[in-house]
Amino acid sequence: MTGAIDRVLNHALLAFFALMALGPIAGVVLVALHPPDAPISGLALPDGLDLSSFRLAWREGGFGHSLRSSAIIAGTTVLASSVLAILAGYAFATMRFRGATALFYVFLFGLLMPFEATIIPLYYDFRGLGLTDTYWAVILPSTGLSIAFGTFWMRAFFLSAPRSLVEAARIDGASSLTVLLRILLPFGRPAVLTMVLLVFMWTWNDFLLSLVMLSGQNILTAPLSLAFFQASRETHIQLVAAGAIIVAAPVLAVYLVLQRQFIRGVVSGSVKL
Amino acid sequence: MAPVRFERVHKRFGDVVAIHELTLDIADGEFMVLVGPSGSGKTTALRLVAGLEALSGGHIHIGARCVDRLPPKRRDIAMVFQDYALYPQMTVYDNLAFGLRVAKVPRDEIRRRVDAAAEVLGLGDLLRRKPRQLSGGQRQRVALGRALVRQPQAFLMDEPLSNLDAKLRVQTRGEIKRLHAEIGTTTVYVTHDQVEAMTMGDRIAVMNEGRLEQVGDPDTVYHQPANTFVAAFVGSPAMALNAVDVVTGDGQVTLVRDRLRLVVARAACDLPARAMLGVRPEHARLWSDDAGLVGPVDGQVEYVEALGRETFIGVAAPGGARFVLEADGAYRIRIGEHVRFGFIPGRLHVFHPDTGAALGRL
Repeated sequence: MTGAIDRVLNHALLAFFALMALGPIAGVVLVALHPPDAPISGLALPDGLDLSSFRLAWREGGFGHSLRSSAIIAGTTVLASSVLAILAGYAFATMRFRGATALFYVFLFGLLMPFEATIIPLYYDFRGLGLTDTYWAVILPSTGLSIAFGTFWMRAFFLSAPRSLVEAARIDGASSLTVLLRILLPFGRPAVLTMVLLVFMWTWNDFLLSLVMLSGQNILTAPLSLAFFQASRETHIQLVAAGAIIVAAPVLAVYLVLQRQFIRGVVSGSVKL
Repeated sequence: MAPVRFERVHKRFGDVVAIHELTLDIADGEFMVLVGPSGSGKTTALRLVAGLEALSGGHIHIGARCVDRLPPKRRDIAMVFQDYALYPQMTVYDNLAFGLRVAKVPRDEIRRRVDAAAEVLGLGDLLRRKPRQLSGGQRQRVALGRALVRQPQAFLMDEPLSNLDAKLRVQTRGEIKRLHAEIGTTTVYVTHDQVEAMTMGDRIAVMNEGRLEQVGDPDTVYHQPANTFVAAFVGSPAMALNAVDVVTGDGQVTLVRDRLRLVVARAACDLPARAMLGVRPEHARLWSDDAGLVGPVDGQVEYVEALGRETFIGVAAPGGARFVLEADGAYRIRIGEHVRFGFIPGRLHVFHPDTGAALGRL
């Protein structure tokens, strides 16, 4: 009897939180589906599937340009930080070298330090180097930020991987790099993909760094362009909603693609536990 | 193929001494079993040969080479791990071929060797499968195959059977022995299972707390244990060990413990006034007047293990001494019953009471 009550309560609670999470998103989607000139108040259902707000927002907001910039920034950051974090995490987890512990704390410090505290000095540094208002002004700090997390994450994965796998490969004659590329990375695809997804999401959604580093004249990231668009079309709520969906769509797409990879990448049975 | 030699090998982990001055010669083509309880240093010894741990002192030779400072890949050994350590994302074929590919062996040669190993181990139908699609026994055979294709100087096996069920273990035990007989590669085999050690080893090295207690062929280790540790560790059920007083008279020795008195012919060796008396179950029999046993001793049955072919009877004797008797067949006796028994002369082991070293047999 208590089991049944438990189940009902559990489901009610889960449904409540799902509603809390999905409600606003549903609201945005519904609003965006209204034509640009329709009067909207509250949570109104659209008459039909009308994509004209998306078309108008895309044209007026210049999202094509800013999505491309964001893709360049996020792609480069993900690539650079993943490669560096995998190599660094591998070294921290499997190799013994002088100063390893101290160096790892330096990496950890990067994780603990609030990013906002560094952004003003960073701006002056980059201006001194003449790098503000370039892709590098966003890519380099984002990469630095992501490496701290990525190294921590990959080190934890490499430490959890069965030691005997690495040892077997070493006895089989594999070099450190071969062990990493042929044995550990295929084995650890879920861990790598999770890192890629998180870093992509953080970089894509970054607002503060691009706001400070970019003037908005040459390069505009997607969240920045959304902010500018929102400021200029404040009364056109369906256009702003459409813009928000356009900007969020790539993150959702990457998530969905990688999600399927996760399931396929799950490995088991190599080592009897 | 090559001999493997430990020369005063020492290994510390921090303050813990894992291996203490181990000297052991393993002959070319020999099947040497390192056996001991957990923490005895047997696996560490194996990992030192593999190069997975660094020596704290001493030397290890494989063949004519001193391998102290060589990385694992240059030692020309192959290892079978307890958890098999198969590469999960590779097929069985790729698992077997991996080491050869890394060594840049020509493709035809790889195919030939993998096929040969698969043939020997009956893996032919499984070559396209991934490890997770295999049963425990099949994975175990792939792990063996991976060692086999390398054609190394020596095989190192770290408790390769411990994850198999009892029946499969016995079967695989035979298979490994057969393989060794066919190929004749020097093998160092680590196990905590003394039955495995007895049945597989050309020789057995019994280890305890980082020290080598005894090395010899299974027969010697079983019948002439060097000390009480080896005596109690090897054999199942274990040898019964009881402290006794030794009274030496003319032509005979009397072993005394409370009302327990055993009169035996005098030994060739000198005995101290106190000793440890060790008796294996098969040398402690139910009393029969014409069997020529040493005794009789009266005791009370504490437990009965009927295995079908034989029955082991745990007995409490006078003075708190405990023995295990072996009776043929399914012998019917109940706990608490009185039992009279004796010992086969010449089969009573006597050990030093303090050092535990073997003194002789009575």
